Amino acid sequence: MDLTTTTTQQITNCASCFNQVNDNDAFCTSCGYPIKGSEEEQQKFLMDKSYKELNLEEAQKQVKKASYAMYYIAGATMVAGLIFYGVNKDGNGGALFLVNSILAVLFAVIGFWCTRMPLAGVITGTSLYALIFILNAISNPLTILSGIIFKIFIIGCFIRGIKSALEAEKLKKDLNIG
Amino acid sequence: MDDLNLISEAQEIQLPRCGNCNEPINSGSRFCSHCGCSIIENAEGTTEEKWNAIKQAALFFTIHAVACCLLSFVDYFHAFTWSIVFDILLAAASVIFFVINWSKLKSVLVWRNFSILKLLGYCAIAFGASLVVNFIVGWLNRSLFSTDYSYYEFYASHRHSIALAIFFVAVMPALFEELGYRGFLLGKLMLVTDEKQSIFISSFVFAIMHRSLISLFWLIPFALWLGCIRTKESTLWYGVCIHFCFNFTAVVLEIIHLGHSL
Repeated sequence: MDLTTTTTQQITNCASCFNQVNDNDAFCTSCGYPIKGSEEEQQKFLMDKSYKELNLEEAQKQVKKASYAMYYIAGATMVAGLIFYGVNKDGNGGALFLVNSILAVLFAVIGFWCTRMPLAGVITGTSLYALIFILNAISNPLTILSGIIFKIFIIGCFIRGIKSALEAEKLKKDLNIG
Repeated sequence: MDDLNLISEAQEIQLPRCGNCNEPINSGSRFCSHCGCSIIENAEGTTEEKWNAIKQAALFFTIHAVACCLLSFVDYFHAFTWSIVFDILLAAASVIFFVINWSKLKSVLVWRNFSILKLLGYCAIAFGASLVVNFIVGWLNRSLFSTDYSYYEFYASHRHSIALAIFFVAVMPALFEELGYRGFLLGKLMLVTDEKQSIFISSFVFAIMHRSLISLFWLIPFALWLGCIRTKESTLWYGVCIHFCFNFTAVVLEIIHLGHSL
């Protein structure tokens, strides 16, 4: 290796991500842009990049939808708790109100957490919902069908949220964001 | 000039290589400078593989959730023998899931950097935490629900009740819950996402699986602690010992408490 080449390397900036690149690199080490590629290859890369950015936006929208579903569940659980308490103040009502309140707070916190750690938030929210569903299904099998359309919708929303969060993590790495 | 050639060649040999074109890559690069391939994707696996990992984790979760709920909420299973059956089934499930992923997970079964001081320190913290938690939970149970849940009472009517209680409340959960949650679940999630998120997810799932909302206040931090130790020390065994100390203290406290009230 010629010692002189290392001292006369020029530092330029990548046309795509504006990070520093060495002159003798064929591709940018930060984003993969073909520095030494043909006009066609560079255009293709930039088009792919826009496409990925759009996909990322879409994926993040799906994650947001899942987090809204969690806020909705939090609200519904809280309302149910209030109703239980209103209907049965002296008996079970107090305990059910407490249980529902804690659950509502949990779902709300997890919904908020989806904004900070999307994948972790959606997976934990889904697992909490799944556990409650299984619990209700086992202790009172007749309730499985009640609101079944709503439940299917929610679960679909969560699963799409998990897949989208996965996709978003990958795209963020590809685009060298965050 | 020859010396410089030798040095730079040696440096090149030590650098990691691109999975696609096998050229050396510098540390800190996210893409190969020769072929443009994503280095992280080559190391991590595709989205498809990650989704499959999540599905496997979900199956593990579902099996545990169904078994635990059957045990808790179906009167037919509220018997001593059934609880043994479920304990064994769940332990077997943890082992099976761990073994299925043997090649990726086996390294945590090795006890690296064993330090008796660390072990004693961790166990002391576990013992102390168990005392505090036992006190707080007992107070909460009595003031909110005017009951006092006891692990030991479940076994009390049998011969060798103390040994049984210790085995099923302290030994088995320590071994198999660690194997299943910190071993399999946390390990599998690390193939999907980063360490921090994996620890959070596995800890939360472990905590809610105990089906006690009140206890979440200590279950979640406890699980987070165990998860951090498993990743920091790269072994399950500190966690197993901590978990054992924690549960063992709880059982012993109950036995003493029951002894006092008799």
